[in-house]
Amino acid sequence: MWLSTINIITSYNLNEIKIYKEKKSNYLDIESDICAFVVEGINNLPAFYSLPLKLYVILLRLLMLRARNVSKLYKLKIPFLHILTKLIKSLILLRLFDVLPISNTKINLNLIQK
Amino acid sequence: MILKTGDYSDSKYHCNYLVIGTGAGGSVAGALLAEKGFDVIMIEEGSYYPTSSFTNKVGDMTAKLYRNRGISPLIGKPLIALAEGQCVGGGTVINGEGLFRTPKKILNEWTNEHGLKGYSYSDLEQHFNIIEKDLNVSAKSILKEKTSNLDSQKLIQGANKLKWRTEFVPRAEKDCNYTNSCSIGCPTGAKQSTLVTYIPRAIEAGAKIFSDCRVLKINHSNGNAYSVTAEIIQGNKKQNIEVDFDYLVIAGGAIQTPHLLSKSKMSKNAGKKLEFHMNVKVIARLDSAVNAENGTMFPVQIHEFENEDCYINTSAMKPSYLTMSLANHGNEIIDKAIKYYNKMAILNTTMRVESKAHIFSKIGKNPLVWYKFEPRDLLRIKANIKRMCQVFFEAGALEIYLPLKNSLPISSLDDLDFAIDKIKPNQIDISTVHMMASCPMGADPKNSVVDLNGKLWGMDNVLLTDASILPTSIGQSPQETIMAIVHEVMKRHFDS
Repeated sequence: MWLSTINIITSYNLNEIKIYKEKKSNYLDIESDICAFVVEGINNLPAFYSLPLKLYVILLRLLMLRARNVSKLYKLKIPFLHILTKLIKSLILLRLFDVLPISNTKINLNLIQK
Repeated sequence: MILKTGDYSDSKYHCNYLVIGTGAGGSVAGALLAEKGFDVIMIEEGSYYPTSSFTNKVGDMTAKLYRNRGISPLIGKPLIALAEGQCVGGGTVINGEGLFRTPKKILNEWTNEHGLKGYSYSDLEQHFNIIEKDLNVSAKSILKEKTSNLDSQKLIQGANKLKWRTEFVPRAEKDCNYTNSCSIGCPTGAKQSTLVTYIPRAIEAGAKIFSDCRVLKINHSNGNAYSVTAEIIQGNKKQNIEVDFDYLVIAGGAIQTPHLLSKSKMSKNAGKKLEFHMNVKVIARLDSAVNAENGTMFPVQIHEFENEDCYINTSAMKPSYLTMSLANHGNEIIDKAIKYYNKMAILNTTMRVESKAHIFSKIGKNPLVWYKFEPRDLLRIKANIKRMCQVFFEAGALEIYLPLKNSLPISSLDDLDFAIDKIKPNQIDISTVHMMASCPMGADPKNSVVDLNGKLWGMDNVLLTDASILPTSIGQSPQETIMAIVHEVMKRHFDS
């Protein structure tokens, strides 16, 4: 249950980023790639960080069923939700620009790699 | 020879010296020991990634080179993001290549308050010289560069207007191509991390590197350590191996070293305190393009506040870093930062602070690190946020984004005073990359973990050679300090 909830929250936060919304159609499987990166990030945390996190996510899921969608969840101002969101958003942003290049810096690694 | 997952054919190994860790401390110790002709094995928990495997993809490289993808928290109010290297080469693969000699006042403090004899500036100078030669360290001017390091030139411009002193940073590099990739593994090999310096030297001299190998426990009896039990992954299965040794050198870093000592019941003082630097960032949209990604992390620092142990410099710039630093500000700000990417710049202050952490090792495989925020640090953080804003405004900032939860962008110093006047610690975005002093060196076993020769109190054949043995934090990046102390510890070891 935590896995699907993390995917829902990741997907929601991802789709709030303008550049992603504009360019996502050009990239295949980008959303599932980023969701997998977030899930792996949480799974890789030591148990005393990841277990409470997963439990919290399950609690959120129960609330989400009542609130029906994620945007409503954010309006409820639930304790610690901003911490989870920051973690998820950081992981999203860490991965997003691996697949969506925006930098003007053209660095051809093949040319400069020794 | 470097063994990786799948390469381990035996379950028992033996060596004269076993070195745990391949970062700034372990690699130096391993190279010096191997070059003396000893049979050396170096164990590294992380994987081996050669320079040719480094790419410009921040997410991908962070997942490979950092512990827990760089998102481990230091528990406290506020949560502090803690970044630790976990790969062959350790933190030197992902740090900013700035090499700083230990400030004289810190070494005096260690001599006078912690009883460290033989670690004065003049004692360590010979080691600083050797390290700087080994790693090709020099401080170069960037003032004449036309297309690179323009964000750092803005920093100089702002500091000059404020009459604040700046210094070019001594950097360990050879022919840097300014890919701004120091923090994700230098893709050109220009950065002189231990991956391209001390580790090849150790291998050349016959040392073996066991990568993807985590030491679980040190086996010892009657004050003598004789083997470690370590975990490797073969196929899909975890498997234990045993490495016997005559002498053990532990250099797992300021968190893992005390954790291992506690788990192995070898020291009661290890990890009771952990000192760290706080990093706080301020982001600006400037009035002209600086293309901050064309450059390196910090070629220049503001040294005006070194008496307070605070140093201001530019920070690594990549779209991921910029937007992650703005994660607390909402998506509109993130969208705007991406739109004006070429005009964005990040300043960072590294601060020595009074807040201290503790390492809890009793439950589970991994250490839990928590800290207590010292209220006096709030004043220091506020002062440095203000200083960074002053520099940015003098350098032509149109809008500044503060490291505060839900804060609005500011466009003048008056706005800043209003924004930071009543801030509370749990609103501030803080990160740390420098941890140290968790197994401090000292003359008295009651309040230290190793003696003045780096030897673990109570054990005959265990040396510690990493950031954990520094008596206190130092304010600056500790790599050269660690390396110099290790050189001194190894010199004393060989002399004895």
